[in-house]
Amino acid sequence: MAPAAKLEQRRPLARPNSTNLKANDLVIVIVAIFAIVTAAWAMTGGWSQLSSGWSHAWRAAASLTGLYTSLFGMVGLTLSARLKTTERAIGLDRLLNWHRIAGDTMGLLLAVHIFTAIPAEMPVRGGFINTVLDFTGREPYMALTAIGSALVAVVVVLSLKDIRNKISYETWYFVHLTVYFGLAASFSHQITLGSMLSNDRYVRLVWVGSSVVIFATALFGRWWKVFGSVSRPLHVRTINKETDDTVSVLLGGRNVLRLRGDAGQFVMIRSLVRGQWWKTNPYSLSAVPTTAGLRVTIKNRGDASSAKRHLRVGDRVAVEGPYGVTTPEIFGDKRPLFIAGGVGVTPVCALLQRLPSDSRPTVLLRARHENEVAHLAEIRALAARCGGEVFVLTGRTVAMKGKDPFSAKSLARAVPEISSCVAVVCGPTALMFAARKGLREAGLAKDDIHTEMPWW
Amino acid sequence: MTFIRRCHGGELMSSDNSSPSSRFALARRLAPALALTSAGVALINVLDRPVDLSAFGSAGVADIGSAADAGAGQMVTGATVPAPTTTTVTTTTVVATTVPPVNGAPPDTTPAPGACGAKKSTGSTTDIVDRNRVFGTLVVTAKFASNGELCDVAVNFDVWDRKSVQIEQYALPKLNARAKKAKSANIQGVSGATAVSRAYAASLQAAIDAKPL
Ligand SMILES: Cc1cc2nc3c(=O)[nH]c(=O)nc-3n(C[C@H](O)[C@H](O)[C@H](O)COP(=O)(O)OP(=O)(O)OC[C@H]3O[C@@H](n4cnc5c(N)ncnc54)[C@H](O)[C@@H]3O)c2cc1C
Ligand code: HEM
Ligand code: HEM
Repeated sequence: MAPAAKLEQRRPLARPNSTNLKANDLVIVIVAIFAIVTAAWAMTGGWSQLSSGWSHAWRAAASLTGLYTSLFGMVGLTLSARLKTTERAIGLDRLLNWHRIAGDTMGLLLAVHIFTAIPAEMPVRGGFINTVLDFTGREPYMALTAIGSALVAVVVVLSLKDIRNKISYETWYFVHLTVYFGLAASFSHQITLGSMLSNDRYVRLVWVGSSVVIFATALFGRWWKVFGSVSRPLHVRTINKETDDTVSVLLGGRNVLRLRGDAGQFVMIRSLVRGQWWKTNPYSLSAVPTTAGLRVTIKNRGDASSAKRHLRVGDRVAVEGPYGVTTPEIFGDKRPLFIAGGVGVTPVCALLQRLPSDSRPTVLLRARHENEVAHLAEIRALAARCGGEVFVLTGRTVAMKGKDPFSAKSLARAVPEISSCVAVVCGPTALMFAARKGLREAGLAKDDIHTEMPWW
Repeated sequence: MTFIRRCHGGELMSSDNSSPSSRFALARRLAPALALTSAGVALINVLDRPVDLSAFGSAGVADIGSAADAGAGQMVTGATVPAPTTTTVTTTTVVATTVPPVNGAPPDTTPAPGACGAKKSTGSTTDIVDRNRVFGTLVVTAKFASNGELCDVAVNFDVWDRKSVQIEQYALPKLNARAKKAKSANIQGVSGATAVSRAYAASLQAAIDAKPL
């Protein structure tokens, strides 16, 4: 906690910008882009080609799947760039989950593209072997394309859940970055070989123009944020031990004033100390962000988070964000319900600070032991202030066998009028899915359950 | 606000946990990405061996420059097309290669009566169109024996992209051969090259129609 002397001077940071853009609008834009490109493909001959014999059909299919492969790549690229408006509209977690969908789809389409391009070109290149040799180097720009596609394929395969979980986050991430090169490398063949693009001058102009603009926007949009966070870092102001394995860290300094943020959001943290500067990790704000600084509460878990516990006062910390759309506005005038496990209490603590005094929130905390819950006293005080209740469910999960604390029945018993609540669920993935299921069964609408979906 | 279950990383990463600030942690994690990128760049350099289009010269393709210089008589003896001096991608002539002079006479500017090429006519400049895409144009020049029979065909084309060049270079010799065999413009198209087949037939028909009497 900040020293008492500072309490009077500090005021909350400006709230994040709101946007009128909705998830649906993004979907509409994406669908519209696909429709336009499909129309261009059909009107430049693709459609009639499809029904004029096998060799034409293969070519038309190769052309369309090529266009779609590229579009999904561009959509994925734009989503991962976390541009401000899109992030404010759907939150970083959904951006990156959509990004995964775009990425997986791109991988599948790429396979189809390659396996339709080969039969399409076989008649004019003299058989399968010659076609493959052409596609891997004899045709100009195809060596670039083949290697670029291989990189895209590696990135997609490494992102499969089972494989992703076997390698460290950073190893995966650095390999993931090579996809920028892969995308750029596979570009030129689109112009030299594409039936639509090599032959229709205006379509080509629009395609090349928008590809370049999207690529540049994504690349610079993304890395400008990284550069900004590193060049204007915050400083560690105070460090407090909260429980045996958690500490709270207040990050402050002049640069805090640049940020906008609210309770319920999270930040990407990069400690600019030796051996740590190349890692970022997401942490929720555990207090309303103020001019005094951002407070995060860090549990000792893996590599990076345990190293962060060795931060010292004065260390520089680069902060990206805050990100996320689980801000206090989501409650409207409904009753808030919080379900948190372990260090998931952190955003609850921040959100409680921003609730009106008549909101009567219910807080369900899950932990092995009460003294493992960080900020418990603070949460109790904050909940009491607005007429709320706090329940701590302790004990080991195995010991509770048969009595699922998040079944619809147990939830309904603990929370009166549960179906008219807005719920925020934070914690381990398993807890999150269990709680979501129980809440849905207890009658909550999907839109009234807020979580940060895991995105990696 | 969602936290990873321990088993996601915690246990698997435990070997790393023992050395959280290992000096080589970054190098270890960067290595796969760097290896992949350098292998990619190296492979691109090894693989990138674009086939020079002039290689197609041996398949009976001559540069327009030399073909244009060549008179009608020389075109008859297409088997001895002069080697192209320069190869331009966009404008090429495909000359039928297998027409022996009827009387074995050396190339002559005024062909003997009865020899192929006694009469000759040039067809219309026809767009190579597939639906509403225009790939370029071609012109067929037909040669007739003195009895008026179609006996040889040559074609000039002008297309704008490399891929069409390849398709044309593949399809036009076939079409020439088919036309000579059929002795008319009523020939089967080359699959995978419908647009050029259609344009070829149209231009050839125009040439036949314009046959000097
Ligand atoms: C929205 C959000 C809010 C969070 N808030 C808090 C908090 O307030 N307090 C707290 O203690 N923890 C919080 N976490 C969890 C915290 O980020 C993880 O404990 C931390 O990433 C572990 O990293 P590590 O390197 O120490 O552990 P490791 O054992 O190396 O990694 C553990 C897991 O974290 C994942 N991970 C690592 N870096 C990233 C990254 N940059 N992006 C996504 N996943 C990554 C890895 O995939 C791995 O599965 C939050 C997580 C999320 C997603
Ligand atoms: C197939 C499944 C994929 C998954 C699950 C996935 C997941 C992710 C995630 C979680 C991030 C955020 C990384 C971070 O900032 O911590 C990310 C970033 C990114 N992804 Fe993917 N991705 C996938 C495929 C692709 C594909 C096919 C492309 C190519 C278009 C791509 C391009 C990118 C780019 C450019 C970034 C931004 C990297 C940066 O500069 O920080 N991804 N991806
Ligand atoms: C080894 C991998 C690849 C091979 C062999 C390949 C092959 C081809 C071929 C033969 C064409 C011409 C098809 C036609 O006649 O229209 C083509 C077009 C195209 N390809 Fe690929 N491609 C590969 C990878 C990729 C990748 C990774 C992308 C996207 C990022 C892509 C996007 C496109 C596009 C947009 C076109 C243009 C379609 C058109 O203009 O009609 N290709 N590709």
